[in-house]
Amino acid sequence: MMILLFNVGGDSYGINVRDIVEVLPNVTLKHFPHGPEYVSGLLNYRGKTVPVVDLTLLMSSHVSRDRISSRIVLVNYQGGHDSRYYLLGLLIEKTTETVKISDHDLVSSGVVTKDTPFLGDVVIRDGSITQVINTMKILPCAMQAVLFHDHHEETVGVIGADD
Amino acid sequence: MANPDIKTNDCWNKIGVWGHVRPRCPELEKVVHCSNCKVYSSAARQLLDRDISPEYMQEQAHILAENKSEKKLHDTSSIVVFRIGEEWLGLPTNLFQEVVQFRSVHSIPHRRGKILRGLVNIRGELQLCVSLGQLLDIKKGEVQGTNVSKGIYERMIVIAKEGVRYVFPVGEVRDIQRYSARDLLAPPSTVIHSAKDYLCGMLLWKEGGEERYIGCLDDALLFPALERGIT
Repeated sequence: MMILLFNVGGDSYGINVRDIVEVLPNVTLKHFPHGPEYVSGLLNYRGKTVPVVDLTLLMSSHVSRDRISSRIVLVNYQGGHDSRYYLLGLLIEKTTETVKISDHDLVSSGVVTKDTPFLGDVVIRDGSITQVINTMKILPCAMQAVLFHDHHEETVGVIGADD
Repeated sequence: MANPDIKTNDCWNKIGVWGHVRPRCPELEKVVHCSNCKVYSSAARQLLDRDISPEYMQEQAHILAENKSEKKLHDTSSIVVFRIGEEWLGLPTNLFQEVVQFRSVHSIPHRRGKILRGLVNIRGELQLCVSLGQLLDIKKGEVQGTNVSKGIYERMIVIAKEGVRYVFPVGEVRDIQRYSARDLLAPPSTVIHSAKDYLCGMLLWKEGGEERYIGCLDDALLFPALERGIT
């Protein structure tokens, strides 16, 4: 499989490209007042509103820096009360490379924590460890309900009022 | 907006292919050129770690907000450009089944017209071989310009429409061109030979400083004409 590499706090992580809809540049977002810190804002993606989560902040203590190499990765996220597929943007740093890895090289990390269920298997490349992220488990349940709560009526309505 | 954190060691300008320092980088033995080397490509990736301007982010946000312009794709069509004699012609790409090597044509006894050349073997099936040059009244030019290494040599084209399939030889198959209906020009009135009757328009084609006109054949006219020609 092929993974898109990115960096959090100097460590290497990957997202399976199968889960990715599109890799977008780091763009200006509409802020999300009083939202959780790690929700960077709302993206207008071809007329649709897509929430963007700062994965760097979710996984470490600092926000993604505004660099060319920081990008928004759109993934299909199954969530909300109706378990539909929603678009979710993930803001990540140092997104400049994809690598092909063999499924056999993926090994369990051996560590499971309750707070980070999205951390998946690891692969060792050139002596350093890359951990593959399970994008489906990124959002805590409570957050899913907030971000994908009746997407059409409420979220869009709020944005319309702001404009 | 250079990033002060980034310190690049530009070894490629010293011991690499762009430098003159001896001894040369030992890695060159393996990778031949610096552009194949990991050090070089990771330095290139570091360039992307520079700061991004708010204006750029704003501009990209506007681009993303707009719908993808699919309209532009809808009103364009594509043709495969080929040459018969000295004439450049194009046929809609969707008619093309394959382009094959030139092969021998088996004539049909008592059925040898001007347009029907005979039968050819295409993947074990016998297909009708016609002469588009005869139909369009194009003389086979003196200069064939065959250059096998550049891909310029006689080939055969297999086209099909609604189950009717024809094979015809051409002097050269060049490439696929996209065009918009707006780019089509009317055939010049000076074209006297009968090719004009089968054209839906002409396309100006610029390639390597040369300007040529491609005659775009109208398949709605071409197929009935071929059918008449072989009976």
